[in-house]
Amino acid sequence: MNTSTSKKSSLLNPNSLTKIIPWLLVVIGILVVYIPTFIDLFKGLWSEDRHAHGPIVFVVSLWFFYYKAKLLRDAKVPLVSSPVLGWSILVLGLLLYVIGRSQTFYVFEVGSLVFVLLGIVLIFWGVKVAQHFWFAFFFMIFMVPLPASIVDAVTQPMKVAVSVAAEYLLYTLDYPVARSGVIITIGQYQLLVADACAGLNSLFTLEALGLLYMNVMRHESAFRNALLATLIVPISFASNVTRVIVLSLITYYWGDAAGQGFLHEFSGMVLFITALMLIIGVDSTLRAITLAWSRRRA
Amino acid sequence: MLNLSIKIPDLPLRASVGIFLLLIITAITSVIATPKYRTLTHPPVLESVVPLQLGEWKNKPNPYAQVSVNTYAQNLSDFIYDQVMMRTYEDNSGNQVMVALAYAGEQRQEIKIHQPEVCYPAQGYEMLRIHNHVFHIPGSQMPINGKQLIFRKDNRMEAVSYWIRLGNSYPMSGFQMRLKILKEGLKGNLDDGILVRVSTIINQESDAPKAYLLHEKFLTELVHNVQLSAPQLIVASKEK
Repeated sequence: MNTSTSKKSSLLNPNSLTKIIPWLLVVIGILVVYIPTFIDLFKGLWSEDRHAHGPIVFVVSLWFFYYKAKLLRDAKVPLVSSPVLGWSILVLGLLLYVIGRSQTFYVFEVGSLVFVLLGIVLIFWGVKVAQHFWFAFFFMIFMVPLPASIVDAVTQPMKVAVSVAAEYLLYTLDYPVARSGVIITIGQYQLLVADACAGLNSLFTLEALGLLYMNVMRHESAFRNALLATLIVPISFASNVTRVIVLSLITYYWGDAAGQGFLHEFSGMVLFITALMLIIGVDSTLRAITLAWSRRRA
Repeated sequence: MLNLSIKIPDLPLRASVGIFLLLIITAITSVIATPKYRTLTHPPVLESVVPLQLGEWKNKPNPYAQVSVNTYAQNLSDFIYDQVMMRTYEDNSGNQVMVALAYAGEQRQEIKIHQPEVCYPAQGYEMLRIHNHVFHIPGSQMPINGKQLIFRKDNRMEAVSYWIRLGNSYPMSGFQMRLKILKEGLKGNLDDGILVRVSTIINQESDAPKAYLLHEKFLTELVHNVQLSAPQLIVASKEK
């Protein structure tokens, strides 16, 4: 593998053609396979609320690949091809793709992208480089649209739980509130807690956001990272409850139109800001605790 | 100043060509492997093949809004089903049943008929009872596996009988549906599917058995009448 000396060559230089052709082949190949998939995703699933996190995760994971690629030079990671492992994973990924695409199993079709990219990285640069990118590969898993049955199984109880908690808090604050299933009645208004307000979609987006935060912050302790990743579940829940309460109050004071209009979008911001603040808060607390702990042991 | 450029390493040509060829083969194979043979090339139009009078049952204007046949927003209904027909029929003694037929020419893994035990709860209904039921409908070549359920939302209680025909089978779970679709799909066939759902508003749970009997009576008439104009539409046929 000739990975050593490469002169700074511009794309216009005919000598660089030999450098570009291999890249073009790989990129065009990937595009031929996955552009139909992405067209379908954007026209179908990703335009639904419940899968709205998909494109966000996709863009962030692309950025993350780029971010890690930039670090690669300083990281002094050895570039040694792992052909056997690489080709096997690539072929496995492509098989998954054929089954997934022809039988519309999105889990296979979209999930195969992780295998295909991993396989290609292994073929060209080997295990060490793949490890360097591990989080980017892992992160891509979040953009795989899960089957409706699984999404429903998680979303339905979450919606009810969020509604119950929001109702309880509003009731404690002496608001005229009642609830039946996922429908909250406040004053003269009725609000339906929709999938978008409390579901796998927001949990995934927040989880992705949290993981990204941790990875960019580059924490040393694996335990603390795992703990924080787990805590994102209750954080997501708390943020969703906050969002529903904010929406209820907006509707209560300013009417239905306000609750469904601009302020509805605004409440989405509330969700993310609450979540981000909670994540940073929890993270700082954890850091303080670990510090205090190690000081006591010292 | 932020440096946005990355040094791009060279790639070995042979491996790149190999990867390129594999990817192209994959793209072609996935197109070839996509099933394209539909069960019914010209599916009948529900509104016209289901008569407004079925034996003693007559079509009535609907006093209640029926529960939607899918889980989410109404616009998804267009996405999942090719045709949806919802009607209310009344017999000579004044008993009413609501019928919902939802037909889809293609059943795929991610776009398939929604089972009522999924779509009622999604619309705020609580499921009180569910059990499997074999419908013995004269005129059907095989026994029909379906389910009978009771739902409640506020003070509305509904007894529901339904079956789903998927190709020539009656799957009882989402998993069975997936398996059947996959089995046919790998052979290149696309199953069609129809949800046949009948329901009645009841006052209390103990009224359900009476409602189910009514449903079965109505379904017998429905199958009998529709079989004439559109065989293989609402019940499966053995051969195929």
